[in-house]
Amino acid sequence: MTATRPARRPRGLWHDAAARLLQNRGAAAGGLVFVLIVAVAAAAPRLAPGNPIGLNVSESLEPPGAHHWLGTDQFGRDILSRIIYGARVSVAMGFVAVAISVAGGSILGLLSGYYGGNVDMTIMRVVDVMLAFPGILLALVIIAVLGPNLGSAMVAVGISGMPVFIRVVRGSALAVRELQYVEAARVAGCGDVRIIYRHVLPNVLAPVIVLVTLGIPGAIISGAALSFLGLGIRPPTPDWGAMLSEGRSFMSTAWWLSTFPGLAIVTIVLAINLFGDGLRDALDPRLKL
Amino acid sequence: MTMRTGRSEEEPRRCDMPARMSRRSFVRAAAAGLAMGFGGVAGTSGRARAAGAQGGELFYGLTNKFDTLDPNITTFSDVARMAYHIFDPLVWESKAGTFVPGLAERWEVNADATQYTFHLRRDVKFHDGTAFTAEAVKFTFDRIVDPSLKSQSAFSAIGPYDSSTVVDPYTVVVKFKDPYAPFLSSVAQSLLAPVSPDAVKKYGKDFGTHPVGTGPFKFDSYTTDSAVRMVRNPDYRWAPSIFKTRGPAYLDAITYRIIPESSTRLAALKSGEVQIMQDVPTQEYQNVQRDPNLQLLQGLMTGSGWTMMINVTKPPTDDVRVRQALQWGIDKTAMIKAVWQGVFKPASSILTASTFGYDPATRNVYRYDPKQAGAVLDEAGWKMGSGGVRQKGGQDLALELYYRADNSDFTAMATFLQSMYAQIGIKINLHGLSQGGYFSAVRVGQHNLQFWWEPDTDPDVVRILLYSKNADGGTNRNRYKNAEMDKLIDQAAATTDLAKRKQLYSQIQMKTLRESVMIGYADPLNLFAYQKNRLDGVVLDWSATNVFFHGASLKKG
Repeated sequence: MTATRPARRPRGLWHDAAARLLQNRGAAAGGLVFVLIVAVAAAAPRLAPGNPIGLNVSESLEPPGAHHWLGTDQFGRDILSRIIYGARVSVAMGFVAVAISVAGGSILGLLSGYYGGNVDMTIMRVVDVMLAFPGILLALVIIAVLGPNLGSAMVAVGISGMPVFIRVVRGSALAVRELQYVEAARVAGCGDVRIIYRHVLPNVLAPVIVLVTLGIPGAIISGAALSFLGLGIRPPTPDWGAMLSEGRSFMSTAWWLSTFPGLAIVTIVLAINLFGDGLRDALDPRLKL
Repeated sequence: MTMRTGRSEEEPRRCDMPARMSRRSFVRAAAAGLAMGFGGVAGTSGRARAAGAQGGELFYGLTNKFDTLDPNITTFSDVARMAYHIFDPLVWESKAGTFVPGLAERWEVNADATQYTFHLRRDVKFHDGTAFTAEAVKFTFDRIVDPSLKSQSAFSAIGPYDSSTVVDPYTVVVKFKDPYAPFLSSVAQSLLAPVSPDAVKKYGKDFGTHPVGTGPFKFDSYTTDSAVRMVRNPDYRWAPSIFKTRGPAYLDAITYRIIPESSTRLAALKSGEVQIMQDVPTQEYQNVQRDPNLQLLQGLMTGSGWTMMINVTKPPTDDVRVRQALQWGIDKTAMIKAVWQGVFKPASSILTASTFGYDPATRNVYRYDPKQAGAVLDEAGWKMGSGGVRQKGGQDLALELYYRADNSDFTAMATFLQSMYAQIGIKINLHGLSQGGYFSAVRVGQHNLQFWWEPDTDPDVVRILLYSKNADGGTNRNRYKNAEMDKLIDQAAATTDLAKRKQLYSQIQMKTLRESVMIGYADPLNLFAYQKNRLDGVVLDWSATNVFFHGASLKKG
């Protein structure tokens, strides 16, 4: 296909990818929703109609209505306000945890893939052990050590998400280190650090970006699960997972307590997943416009 | 005098916390309020009795996994609930302080309550066919005090036990080292129920999974952490007078199914998987009450309800005025509405209103009055700062509240109190921890505040909460040491004169309130529910702790 349009100026991978992404309606919509949620989280104090942590027992357990659009919880707190503020925790959870996964995963993956040998052997066996446990179980162990709060939940989710990144980065690095431009750099006298940073890293980035977009919703769900188990953020800070958990015992009497935070989680996860899927397709070099 | 040690807070609870079993109890005044006597709630009484109600298997929704089915060893009230059906106590407490014959036809107590003589029924046989005699009673009591058995609640309940003497095969004399008036109440609990000596010798350490008693049901099977099944004892002829039948039970079998999650337990009741359940969640209280198929059984818990312990050694709660502000500053009605959907009752003391010795005058000591709270804090030098938090010498008035984050009651209470006390300028820092983290923090006194919950049938429960020997890392997390209080607690426990005893407990409660060592927030209700179209003849005991199926029957449905 490309051969039939030789007049066109050659474009980079990123430019192509962006164009393909915009053509994918699902991905564009997902991205848009996600950006909206981030904006809502950022502007929470302006947008929230009520105080997310204020006590107002006289209005406790009010169903959704004109006064409280999404109802109130047992303490009389406005659910909508709590969901808006809760977006901050979820978004932060997603980004920070994945940032930890990416940072740790990339470094270890690059070392493993680039050096090979005993370094590779050691790191990969550790990864094998980590992969043998379900991520949430590993996170529970880490929280048991660090104590339950938002910070340790982020670290726990980040660490438990690391093995996947290590594997992917290592695989790409293995391939890249054999390529001629790496050899050329080595012949030119570049040190290992420079080669890894300047030549290997940029060329393993595409799969990492895809993995990030797929990792964020996973991290949000893990964070919500930890909060659900009472091991995440401390009350009264609103958090979707904790709201879901608190509302659980009211399922038959006040459905709105857990339904709306549940919908919020579904929405953000679906949005990022759609965007991530689109991004994966867009970055696939086999697909051309 | 046995030393009380609390353990209830060590178990998880959403009304799912295993009640530490009641200890010895003095003759108690009938409680005001909701505690009901035997037969007080017995469903649609008698109606089904006439029409072939014989037979069928009852399924019961139990809350907790437990340690052993041996009533002489266990620490779980859920085991005691079951044990009343496999075993029989020597006497039954039909209502607070009133006793009726069980395996003992009659009994005598000497003047200073150091010697009890029991005259036993002659027609009783254990499930293994051996005869029930005075030897079995002596064997059981001697077994409980044998240190190698590691008996918990029963050991507490038997008090200053000295020895038993078999006078003849059906007469046994039980002696105590010190006066022990509460013994009748203790012996009415399934904890001290006679076990078959032959079976104990035969099964040894496995007796806990092969319990053999004299009760209306024989143990059939135990599936670990899942279910206990027992089948009718056709030879049973010695039920106490409080039940509809003195003979064998109507039910063929009872299966106690362990369902820890309360909403699942309720779903099982609604679907008919079980016909009766314990620990109805307060969120569902209204629903259950409205449900035409369900009947609630309820009564106020005895002992100490939902309370807060205040560390009197750690600043700023070492200042009595700060502690008093916490009393003035709490709207208990709002708290109960938010945390327990208005089902529980506001507490005024560290003893619940249905506990013997509860002093109604405690209601007049504090009331919700934020102005008064502010005034005592002002007087203590804590002036309102700009951020809504009181300050003294540049320091915020901040209290550290430690609780277990895996428990929804604790979390809800903590959430509420943080907002509540913020209104009077006290900042509450929440430390919701896992079980291990929680214990390592509160046992060394890192907390200013922490919650407590302690069911008991006797007011001596205050020993767990306030006695100085329990203060260093023990159950007295108030870390409160007061010689006068210790003396009052000891005196009260050794007094057999009820009026005097009551007066001593009144002093203890008032002193606790004046010094604001603890805050009583709510008197909980014990809540059971059953299918009223299916089950009949269920009896809830006076302390609202146990339900009995001796005279229960299933209706065809």
